[in-house]
Amino acid sequence: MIASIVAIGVSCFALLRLAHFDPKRRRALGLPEETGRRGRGLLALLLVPGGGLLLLGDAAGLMIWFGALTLLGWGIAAGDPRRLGRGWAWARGIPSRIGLDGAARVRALEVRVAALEAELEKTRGLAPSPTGAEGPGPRVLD
Amino acid sequence: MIDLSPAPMKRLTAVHGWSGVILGLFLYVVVVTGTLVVFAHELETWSIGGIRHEEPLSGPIDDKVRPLIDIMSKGYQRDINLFSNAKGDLFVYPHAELRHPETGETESYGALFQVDPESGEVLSRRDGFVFHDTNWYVESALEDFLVGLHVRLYVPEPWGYILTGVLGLLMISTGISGLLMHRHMIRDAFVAVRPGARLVTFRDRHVLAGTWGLAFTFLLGFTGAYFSFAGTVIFPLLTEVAFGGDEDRAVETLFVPQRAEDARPAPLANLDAILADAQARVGTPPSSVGIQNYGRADALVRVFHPPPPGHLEFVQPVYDGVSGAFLYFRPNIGREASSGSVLRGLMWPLHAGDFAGVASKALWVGLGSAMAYVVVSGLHLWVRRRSSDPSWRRFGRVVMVSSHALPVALLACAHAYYLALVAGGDPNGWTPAGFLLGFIPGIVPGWRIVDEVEVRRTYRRLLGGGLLLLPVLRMAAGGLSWAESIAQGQGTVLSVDLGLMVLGGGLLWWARRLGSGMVGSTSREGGRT
Repeated sequence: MIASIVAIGVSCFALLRLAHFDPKRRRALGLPEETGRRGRGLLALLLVPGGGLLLLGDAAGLMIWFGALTLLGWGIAAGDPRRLGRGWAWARGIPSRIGLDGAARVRALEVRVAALEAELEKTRGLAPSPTGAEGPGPRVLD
Repeated sequence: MIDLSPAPMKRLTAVHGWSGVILGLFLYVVVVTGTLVVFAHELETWSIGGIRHEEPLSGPIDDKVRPLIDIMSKGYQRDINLFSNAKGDLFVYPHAELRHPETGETESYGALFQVDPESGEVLSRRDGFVFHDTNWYVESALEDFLVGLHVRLYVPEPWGYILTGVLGLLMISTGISGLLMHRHMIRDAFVAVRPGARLVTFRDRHVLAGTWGLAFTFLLGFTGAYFSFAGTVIFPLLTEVAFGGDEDRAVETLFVPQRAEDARPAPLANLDAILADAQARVGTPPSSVGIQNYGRADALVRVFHPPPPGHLEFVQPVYDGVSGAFLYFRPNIGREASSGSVLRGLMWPLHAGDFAGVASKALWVGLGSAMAYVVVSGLHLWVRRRSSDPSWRRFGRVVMVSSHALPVALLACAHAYYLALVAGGDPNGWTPAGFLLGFIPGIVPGWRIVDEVEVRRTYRRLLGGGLLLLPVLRMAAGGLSWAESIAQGQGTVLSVDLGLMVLGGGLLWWARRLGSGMVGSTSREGGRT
């Protein structure tokens, strides 16, 4: 059962991306065309989990995967695209909301470090020169 | 893809549409009831107030079964079936095949013992052609009625089966014609439904549902047609062609394990040891047992099991009835393993989604709902294309009312079943009566209310309220309370109650949403029927 759940998850991701990049769907929704050829890769990603279940000899899992794919495909294609878009954006935000998006956290920390360094530079610029020379004049710090 | 010129395309569209118009509503009944009876076993357990014993054929039964068989005369010891009902009571059925004086058909005649599998107490005994009286073997009149409606639409035999078989073939043929008509079906699999209530919107919805459900349309249509035609056409034809009309020889060759005749007396091996070995070998508990030639040296024991984990086919290990030794796994049909046997073994699990417990059944319910949507959306599309014609508009109204009246009537038959239990009436009579009476509240809103949005809202309220009422009625009829269900581990009763309440609440919410979202956009084009 776990194998079929994983397979359904992977294929569901592929279905969502196929729907997102489908040129006719984008035209119908008035969205700009996406460049690049992702179709074959996504199609492989859609079907490979089923092949995996077949190789494992899990006939019941294969039928569950196939049935789930049918219903998910229909739901994605017939569902409200705006709601689907909002759902996709929400799903993409999950890792960062639960603190699992490492790259985003590193980027945020780098921005914070840069801001602190800039502030430090400004503070140094205000401090009196050890040689008695005048600084750049009074400034209001954030 | 085949590129059709306009003339054949027009003919194909006519065949696709007219076959749907003529038989579409019958198909809708079969699909909707089929979707419900995917959970037939669970509905049965729920409607009879839960189970008394779990897996009665897994526990020690030898000492309870043997004395009941021993008291029967030799003629009834040639063939003995052991099975259980939804409550978990054990049935022991020693019988013979006799010609029924009224029907002229060969039928099983014997003694049907209902036994408590734990204490061994005989709860009831019936003698005769026991499968002629539904009260003798049917636990839930509700489940029995729904299954009967799905498989034969209560049209007299054999025409009911033939009709449902034709409807299965109709599913396949409309799938093929739809595939040919919508040449870009696969390429358009993700094209979004165009908004509004235009003709293209109806077309998009129907085509999308049809595209994604195409594979299962073939699968469910083919397997359904097989079951309808198996007993009415295929088996009689096979008997005539391959066995010269000898039905007994056909049954023996196709379904009964063969063994050299040896009538010397010999005691049956310990049944508990055989069942324990079968369960260990297969991985699922036995669902029924068949004993051939009890008390003879040529005795055989067949144990029937649901599919093992990860498999689709039901399996049937066969044991030597005297030594208790495992002999072989019997093919589904015939004497040797064959692709035909595998195909036959796949028919039931693929038709009913009965191979991976609740998960596969839940998926099949979803697929059945998708099929029902394809049928109704196709009928709406056909009518919408001809909306300038008043008679087609009236037919559209009939489709809309019928598609709602059927679920209302099905709900009413469940209410009638419980009310009969409360009032001490016969549920086997009141359940079908409730179904017919249910068409009154099912049709009246569509007949009385002109405004289409208001009609839909009324139907959703009716269905939602009716669903919410079912658990209350069940408990009023003496069913388990939720506290008792939890205490006794009756998960099915609680799950079905909660499922009905979620569905009922969802429909009421949907009715409210329809009201707030559609103010000022009501359609009066349907008119009254």
